[in-house]
Amino acid sequence: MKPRLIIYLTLGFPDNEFVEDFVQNIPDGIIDGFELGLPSSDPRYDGPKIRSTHGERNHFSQDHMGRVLQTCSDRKIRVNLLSYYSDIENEGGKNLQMLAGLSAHEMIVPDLLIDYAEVADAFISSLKASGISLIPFFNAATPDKVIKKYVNETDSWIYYGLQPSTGINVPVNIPEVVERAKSVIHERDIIFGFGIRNGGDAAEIIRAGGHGIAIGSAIVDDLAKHDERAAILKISEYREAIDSAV
Amino acid sequence: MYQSREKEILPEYWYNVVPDLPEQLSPPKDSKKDTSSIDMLNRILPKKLLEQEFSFKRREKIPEEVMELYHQIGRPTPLVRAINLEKKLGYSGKIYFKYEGATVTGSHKINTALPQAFYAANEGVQEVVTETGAGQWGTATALAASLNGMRSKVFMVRTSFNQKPLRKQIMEIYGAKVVPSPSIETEFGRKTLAERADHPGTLGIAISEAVEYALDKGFKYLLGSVMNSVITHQSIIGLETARQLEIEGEEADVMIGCVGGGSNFSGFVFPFISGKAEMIASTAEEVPKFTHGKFGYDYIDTAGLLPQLKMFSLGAGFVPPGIYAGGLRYHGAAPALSMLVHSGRIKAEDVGENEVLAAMRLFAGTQGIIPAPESGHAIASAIRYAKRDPQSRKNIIINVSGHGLLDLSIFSRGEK
Repeated sequence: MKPRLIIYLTLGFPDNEFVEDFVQNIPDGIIDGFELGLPSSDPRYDGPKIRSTHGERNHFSQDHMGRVLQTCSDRKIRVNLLSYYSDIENEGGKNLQMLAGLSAHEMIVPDLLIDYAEVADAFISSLKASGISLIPFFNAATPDKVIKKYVNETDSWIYYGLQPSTGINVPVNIPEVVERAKSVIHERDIIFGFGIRNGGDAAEIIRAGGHGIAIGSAIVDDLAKHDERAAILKISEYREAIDSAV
Repeated sequence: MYQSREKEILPEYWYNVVPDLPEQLSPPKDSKKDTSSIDMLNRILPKKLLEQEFSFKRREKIPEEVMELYHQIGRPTPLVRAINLEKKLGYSGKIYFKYEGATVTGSHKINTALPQAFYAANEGVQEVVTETGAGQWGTATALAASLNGMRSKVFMVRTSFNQKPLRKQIMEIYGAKVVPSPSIETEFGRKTLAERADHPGTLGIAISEAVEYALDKGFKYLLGSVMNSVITHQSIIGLETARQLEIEGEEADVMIGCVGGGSNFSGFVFPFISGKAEMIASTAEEVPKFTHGKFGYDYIDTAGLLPQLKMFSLGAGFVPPGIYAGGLRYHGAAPALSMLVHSGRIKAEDVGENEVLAAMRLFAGTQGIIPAPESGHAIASAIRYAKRDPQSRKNIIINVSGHGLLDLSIFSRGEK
């Protein structure tokens, strides 16, 4: 099976027009989906690169999100959204109502199972009622029984973080991490992200049995410079790395 | 007790509680926008230690070289039935204590200093740096560095530096350079002294100075408590205890230890966490982190050089009084321990100075061991427990984390 490559973009960064052009211009077949982050006031599990995309340099608007999702829908590019639960809670669920009307049907909420575990079951139910599936986010610190519980309560693919936050590099034994994830999660695709430094890491994940990778920090500098060509070139290199690892 | 069966008692693996926690531990958090303090750990910690810090593995093999050092410094430590204390209290159940004071440095701290120094030496490091509160951690680091052929530097909280000249002397005999913190050797120390020339120091300030010094000089920093990797190494206390109880044909009903940053207590109880034993964390009334602290993200160190952790904390800027138990002055507690206290799995209680001194006297008079004042809290909590229901048949197991032979001056202060 062809490994999946998912590209993370923070909506509104570096500006709305660039993001809209980017999703329009990315060549067919190079990626398998976009992960679109809603700008957060507290992107607590993100490293410095992604954090820089959430701050004052962000120009997000709801119309912008609608246009991006429409383009992805027209181009048949799969999309999932990412929002921190702390933001959803702060906005009293308004975001959730807004998302229910959009064409994205999968969502990552990275802090939900960690800092808001007490409301996670109810939130997953309300997402389902809005036609949205939660993509569970796990990492090395997720206890086995927590993984099993939320694998049972959801039906989407799984996002597994290699690192404690994005774009940082504490020592990780990739084959061991993949093996651990696969030993607890069965019959679901596992996409690995958080701290994939280069094509070598990406290939190692696929060789170890991962179903795909998600990258974001790797292209932030190119996006910040409005350099679409450089970003697409980098994405192509990751594509080649994971395809050749199969 | 049981020393002749040491091979049977010493475990081959440390235990990491993270995969067995009821909930997921919140990851460390950066607060600076443009840099990552988590990534910065790569520069100051041995690689293997950092790998263990974020490990999902339930078991971690103890390197053969570290195992040999464990034998050399007195492991396994004894588990002793406190029969005389039981009689004195009129307690119908059994009271055991695990005696970490039997190590050559006189406390549990050597359990993690040895592997950390071993990992640093394997990377070719010439010098390690750390902080110390009461002096036990600095002593352990100094010896561990010496045993691994490295130099060491210790930033010692000024109030302890002044109160405990013998501790400083021991560290120096082991080859360490010891400076009082706040010091003039770091930018943060100089800034702190400029604000208050007679600052008594805190562990949070000393950690900041040690980290800054390690970053400036390119040395490795050794962690005394709080972090997961340290607690994993300290699990040797609980793993040995479990085996010793098994040999004795007994089970733990109640486990009691003292908490500064949480490493001796967590290392003692975490290997039992999946069982039914009641667990009580005893803290100083003057530093009531669990009963009056806030559960949320806070800095490990006062300058905020290290990442924030989700834990019980009285605030990284908290300046505790210069209390009799320097090892309990830290503002926070280990995240996994904090989570388990927050969830109610582990109970916490504060104990005041008079009760601790009385407990230490009683323990010394019945068992012959003068415990460290920090461990005196655990003993005081155990005595409270036994007195509440003297007819109980429960087995109470206390972790006596160190001896108090260098803390005798506290007895001359008189009870308050």
